[in-house]
Amino acid sequence: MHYTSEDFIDYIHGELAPSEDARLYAHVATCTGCHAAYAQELALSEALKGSAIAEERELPPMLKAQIWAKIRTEQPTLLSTLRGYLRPAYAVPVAAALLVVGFFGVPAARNGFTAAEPPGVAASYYLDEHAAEAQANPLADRTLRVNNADERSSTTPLIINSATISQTRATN
Amino acid sequence: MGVPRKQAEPPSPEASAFLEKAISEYGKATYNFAYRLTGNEADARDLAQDAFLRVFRAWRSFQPGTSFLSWIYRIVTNLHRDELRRKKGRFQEEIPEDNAPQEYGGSRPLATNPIEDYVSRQLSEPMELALQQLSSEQRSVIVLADIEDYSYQEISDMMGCSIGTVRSRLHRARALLRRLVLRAQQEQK
Repeated sequence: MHYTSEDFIDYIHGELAPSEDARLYAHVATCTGCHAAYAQELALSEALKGSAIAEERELPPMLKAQIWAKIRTEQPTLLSTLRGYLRPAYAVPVAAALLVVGFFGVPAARNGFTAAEPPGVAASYYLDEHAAEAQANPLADRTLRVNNADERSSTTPLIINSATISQTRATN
Repeated sequence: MGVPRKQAEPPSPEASAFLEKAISEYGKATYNFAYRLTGNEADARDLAQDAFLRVFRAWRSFQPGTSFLSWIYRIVTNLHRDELRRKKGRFQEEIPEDNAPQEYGGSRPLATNPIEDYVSRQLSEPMELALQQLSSEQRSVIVLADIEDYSYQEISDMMGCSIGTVRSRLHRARALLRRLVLRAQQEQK
């Protein structure tokens, strides 16, 4: 059995299985035809290496400066900009801010973002209370009692805040 | 009145140090690899420059402990292939398929350039001349296997193809190269 040039190429590149490698090695030592074919492939590999060495070039002196110049002048791409924002220095504060907004913002959004109203008490409650007190006390101002009765007949409920209440009490 | 041009951000110190080291240690090897693929100094310079720009932009994706040279050779190979595809579009040149029967690779554009022709005539070595007549894939696989001594597995990783494809490309490329070298030697006599 003789080997093909493909076998020799794989052999030269160390790509044969160890057992096959050993068999080919032993065969080439005894078969002149295969040895010649092997020598041809080996010569090509050596010629390629020799040519590469002969043609080897030094790094052009300006190349390094040109690379740096291009880096300094080139604009960042969209992808690189986005990647920049994924760095921990940016990503951590943004994530924390989103968490805060999510924690407080979602319940507020669910309630329709309504502003909290100042605590109020229906005016009729105090007027009723005052009328009851006035009836219980015959010395109380009669005029006020009549005005209170008119107030009660009003259809629109009046909302007053705590400052108004204290002012009303002081007046009374 | 135009929009004022945004100033480029200064490079980060880590990326700068990485690139500095990469150029000083592997610049020559990368440039020579690019030269073997392109066959001329101007294209090799552009290719090496683009490869190091990629290294700078993607330096974080390099895995420490792996071969930097394999990484940058893969970048160079991909950039070279992309460039040839662009040229193919520009010149409507047919780049031969790996399995297509061929005598000469179609690496030379149809539009002739007197300066390039002059430079190519200066390549006195028949081997260099023959290498430039191979297709890009064939040239890459020969350079990586025979000059750079990479294994078929490493080449398949770099070129993004199977080991079987690497093997068949190498076999075909070497058979073609041998014929081309013989022809070039006969023409020189």
